[in-house]
Amino acid sequence: MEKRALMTGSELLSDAMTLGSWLLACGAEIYRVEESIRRMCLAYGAADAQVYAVPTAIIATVRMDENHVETQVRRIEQRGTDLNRVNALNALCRSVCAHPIPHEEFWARMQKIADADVYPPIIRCLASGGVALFFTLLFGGAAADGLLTLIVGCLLEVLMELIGRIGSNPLFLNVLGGAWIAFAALSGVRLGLGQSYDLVIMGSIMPLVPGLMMTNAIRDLIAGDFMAGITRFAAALLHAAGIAVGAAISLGMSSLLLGGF
Amino acid sequence: MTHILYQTLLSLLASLFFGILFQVRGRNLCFAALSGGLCWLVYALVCEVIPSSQIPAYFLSAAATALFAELCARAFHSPAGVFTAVGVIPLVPGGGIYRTMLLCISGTAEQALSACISTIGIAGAMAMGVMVTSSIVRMVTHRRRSKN
Repeated sequence: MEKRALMTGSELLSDAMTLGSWLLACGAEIYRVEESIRRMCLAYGAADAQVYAVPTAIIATVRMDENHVETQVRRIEQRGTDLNRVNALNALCRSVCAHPIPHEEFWARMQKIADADVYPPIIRCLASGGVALFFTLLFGGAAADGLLTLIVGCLLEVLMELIGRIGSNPLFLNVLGGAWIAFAALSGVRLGLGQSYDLVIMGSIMPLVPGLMMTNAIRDLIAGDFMAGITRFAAALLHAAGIAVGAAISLGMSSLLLGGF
Repeated sequence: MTHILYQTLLSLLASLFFGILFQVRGRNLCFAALSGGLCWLVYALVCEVIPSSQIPAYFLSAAATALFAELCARAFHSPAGVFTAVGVIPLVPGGGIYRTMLLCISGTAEQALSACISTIGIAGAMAMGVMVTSSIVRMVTHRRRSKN
């Protein structure tokens, strides 16, 4: 009874779902989102909690007692990967499950997580270049190819950052990314900066391609989260299709204009 | 052997930078990068032993990465997903999906289909590897907890 005094039913469900929706928006696994919401509700003295999550939405019902049942739906619009925040949210969830805290204190801690540092754009650009560079070398590229991919990869993140700020459709963003990579790789090799444009393209698309998304989709399917798995599978294919369309535009244009390659 | 070590180092660095893109910080970033190196090392070694097929290598390397990730997760009280997501990066079939779609666009349906199947095979083997390890770890820790 004492635990229940900390939060009312709707406060509890609302807080737990905010935690869950932040987790989902930062790229946590479906089962982690469902478990976190369920455990938090039970820790605050709910009689029962049912949670259903897919990558774009969460539905949860909590039963405080016989006469008091609440349901909420949250739509997840924006998705990315911020594993540092997943880590912090997971720690918060564990701590409130062990020692429930009142609504205001919970919000103060959530606010702290929201305000936590992220890497500045310049570091992200360099990291994107680094990923491209080391993948090209891993695929057997020469040092010259590596240097070209480093530049292409850094500028790719700059492009993504700038166009992302305008708030463009994610598919169109991928088309542009693919087009930029193929264009830059072809012109770089033409100018004598690299030897193999194919390797430069393969390395540079690595920060963009949804390989992890595909693997996680199959993981969801194996774990029994069928809707989530199918959704992610389709998203991964569409994502890759965007990149391929962009690359095909650049490759096609260059063979039309220059007749080479 | 030096070739394998060189590639392992490259995978480690690629994972490190991917970790930064995923906003992993501090000690978690170092160990996530190490799991990326481990992932490639196991893959390369298994490929040497079983040269006929690559699928077992993908499966075993994902399983080894997930095991390392579970150990790190227990040690640092972080979700295992942080280390697995970054660790499997060197082997996830990103290039394969891209190639599938590019072949689709260029109208070579048969090649696209074969690229698609091999991509799903790799992704499936890796997902299985991660799932099997985390299920076993969960079974073992659950039994230990219920004994106490």
